[in-house]
Formats: sequence, C-alpha cells, structure tokens
Amino acid sequence: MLNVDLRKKLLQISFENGLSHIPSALSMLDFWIQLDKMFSWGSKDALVVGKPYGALAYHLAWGDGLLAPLTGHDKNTMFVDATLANCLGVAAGLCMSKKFENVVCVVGDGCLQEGTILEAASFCGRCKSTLAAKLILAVDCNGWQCTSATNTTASQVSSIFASFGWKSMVLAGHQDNAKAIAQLMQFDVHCPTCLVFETTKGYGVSFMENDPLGWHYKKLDKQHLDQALAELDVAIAEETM
Amino acid sequence: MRQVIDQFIASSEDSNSILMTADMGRFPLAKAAGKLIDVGLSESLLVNIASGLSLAGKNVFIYGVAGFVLHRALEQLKMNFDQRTSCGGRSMRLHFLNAGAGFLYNQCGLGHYLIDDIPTVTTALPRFKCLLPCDAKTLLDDLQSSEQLTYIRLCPDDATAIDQLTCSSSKVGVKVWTFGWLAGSVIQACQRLGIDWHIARTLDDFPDDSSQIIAIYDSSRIQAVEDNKKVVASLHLPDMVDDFTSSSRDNVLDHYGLSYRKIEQFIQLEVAKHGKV
Repeated sequence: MLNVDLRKKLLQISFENGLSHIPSALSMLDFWIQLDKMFSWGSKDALVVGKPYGALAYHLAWGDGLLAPLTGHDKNTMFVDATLANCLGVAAGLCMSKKFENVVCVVGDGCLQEGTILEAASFCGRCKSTLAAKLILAVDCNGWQCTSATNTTASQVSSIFASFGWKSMVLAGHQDNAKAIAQLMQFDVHCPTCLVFETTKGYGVSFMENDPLGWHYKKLDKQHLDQALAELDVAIAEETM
Repeated sequence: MRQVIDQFIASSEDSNSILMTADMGRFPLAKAAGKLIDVGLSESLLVNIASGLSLAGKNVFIYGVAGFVLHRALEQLKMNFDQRTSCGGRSMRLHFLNAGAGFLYNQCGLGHYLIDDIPTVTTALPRFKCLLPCDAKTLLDDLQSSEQLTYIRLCPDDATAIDQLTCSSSKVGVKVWTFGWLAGSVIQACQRLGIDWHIARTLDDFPDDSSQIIAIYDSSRIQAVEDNKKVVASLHLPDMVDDFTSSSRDNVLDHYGLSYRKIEQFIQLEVAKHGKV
C-alpha cells in the first residue's frame, strides 16, 4: 500500500479537527500525491479543484497548514468548485487565456452525471485548437457518490471522454503511475487528456471502504481512529516482512 | 446595439477585452480581431469559461438574449462571480450584456419574455451593478464602465437617441422616471403634457431635487424603485405573464399597460393626483 504514513496522518488530523469526507480523501490520496509531483505549480501551471471534499489529500501533498483556503495556496490553485461540475468549463477558460502551459482539474466520478461538465467535455474535444494549454482532467473514479453507487465503470468514463475527442486512459488509482502519467504528458499539447483513476472509496481503512452511507459524512471517534491506525500498522508490518 | 458592442470590442485598446456568446448574435468585427469566443448552445458553459478567462485577467463581456443566460446560468453567475468577486485574491471582471429584456423579442416565444431580469439580478446577483443604457451613446458609456461586475440591459436598435436625460423646466413638482428604451416614449408623452422627466442610468439614479416621482419601467416590480420615498406612483410589468401570444410588440405592451397610449394616460392621471396645479 502506498502512502501509509500519510494515511495515518490524514486520519489523525481528521480526528483532531472533527473533519468529515475522510473516505473521499483516502480515495484520491495516492494518485494526487503522484500528480502533484509532475508539475512545478509556478505561474505556468494552474490547478482547478473540482473535488473539494477531498481537501485533506491536497493539503497532505503540499505539507502546508491544514484548513487554509485552497485558493489562497501558492500552488496556483485558480478555482475551487462550489456546486460541482463547473470546474471543467473554468479550466477550459484558463486554457484559452493563453496564460498557462498546464491546467490540471481534479474531479470525482459522481459529478460526471451533471450536464454542465459534459458540455465542457464536449466543447474541449470539439474546440481543442482553442485550448492554448495542456488540459489534464483527473477523475477519482471510485464508483460512489454521497449516498449510492454511480453505476459507471472507469472504462465507461474513459469512453465518454474518448468519444468527445479526448486522449483518455484508465489507471489503477492506488498504484505507482508516475511513468504512465509522464508518458501521457508527452502527448499532443493541444489534446485534452483524461486520466481516469480507478480507486476505492476509503482505501486502506476496511470499515470505510465502499460504505458511503456509513462514512461519507461521518467523523472519526477515538475507537474507530485506533482501529483504523491498527489496520494501517498491520499493512506496514506486512510490507516490511 | 450589437454593432456598438462589436465596434467597441474590436477597437478596444485593452488586449484583455474579450466578447463571448452562446450561439447568439453576429459580431464580425470582434471575430476578425480575434476577440470573439462562441461556445455554441451551452449557456452554463459560457459562464464557466468566462470565469476561467476572468480569473486569468481577461475583461470578459458575455452577450445573451432574453433569459437564456440569466436563467439557465444563474448558478454559475452566482457561485463563480457574485459570491466571490475575487478568487484567491484575483479580481474577476464580467460584463453581462443582455438583449431582449421585457417584451422586445416577444414574437420569438415564451422563452423570450424576460420581465424579471432586474429583480433577479438585484436579489440573486447583488454584486452585479445594473447599468441601463437608453440609446447607443449611453451604451458606449456603460461598456467603458470600470465596475468589476455589471449587468447591462440592452435597448433595441430602434431606440430613440436621447438628447436630454433629465428635464426640470416645469413647476408641476412631479417628474416621470424611467430607463432604457422606454425613454423615447416617456419623453414624448412628457413633452406633450408639459411634465419633467428623468432618464435613469442606474437603479439608484434619481433626481436630487424635491420632485415627486412617477416611475414607469418595462420590468416586473423592482423593490429598490418602489422603496424610494420619492416614488408616488409606478407603472410596470406584472410579476407573471399570460401564455405566449404571437401578437405584435405594440399589442403585447398595450395588453400589459406599457403602450404609448397607456403611458400617456397614466402620467396624466397621476400628475393630476400628485402634481401642483
């Protein structure tokens, strides 16, 4: 398992600060840690946060003060979505401004049910010549929304974007994808790229995994914290054997 | 008024100025200057892309007709702009140019009736300043506005050019207040009846003298106007409309009380009640 220590930190911080949306953060943590390292996040790389409910994962990757506004961060976070699914259109606008080389947008698979994001996906595919920056959409595809399953597989999500003219690929979201991502980055700069990360909601904590009704909004109590940390310690022990 | 907008954008020395549409209107000069983005029939996307451009420092003008952008993309206008004029410390500029308010495009169907644009903007998008041009000249002034967020309610191409925005020559003690394309009809009626007038450029643009105000406007009830203590009577569109009719604009306006004939009758009646004889 990747990032076990960060997972433990995530759980500890969530417990101490009474935070919810823990399974969402656990779901995207591994691929976001890798993706974050691919960019310099100077003035030429922009981030659009379309999945703000995994906020702890961003902060853990950045190692910054937790609970700080995401947009105020020096990682050039240009926009944090408020009502979901508007992010990809905003990212397209940033690409069209000719001010950036790379624009990265992170979303969950639940918001792909919204019509607005499909408008943006269609536009970016049809009008890719107007995108003056490399647009990368990272989809945390764990198959769950707040209360129920999305009933859409990673390969179906990938097909949707491919049908709109995107370069699209499914990646195992909890494995090391650094090489694959680096190769995709070499692809035609004007072609929008969709990385569909196949993930598990709540990954690494057995009782949180794939139980949105139980844990999507729930905060950790001490008993569950200890249980989760013990599970992760076992994972560490097994890997070092 | 599209020609005014087209020329303004095309000739703007601000390289950050850009005009956006969702498959509405023709803007050949802006297009030739590389300052036009048409996203196709997708109003929510229009405002989302405008948000990205604005965040990157562009001065974005979006053009829409009737309620197509205002109503369909209200969420994006509110969440991306009105609730955060800045994002991470970055200022955002958006100028929403809306054609076909009231019944100007009435023959195009019910989707082109827009009677509640100003009440919607003032309540749901309070940070957008309503600018109310009454002719080509005042529109040009409004396009040059330095406000960050504006809602510019366009008047039709055949709007009468207004020479005198305010008149204070009579001693009746009453002024007729209006805005937008109704200015031509209101001034004509006032001149016939010997009554003063005031053509407002914004919703808080009221004469600073002691005149009582008769307000006439082609929108459903605007609370900010009705709450003004100077306003003693108002004639405006209803909050709801009957079903679509393919009748002429004049007939529809007459039905809702805003034809020239009814405007003159209303002024005459209210001046008799409130004016100094």
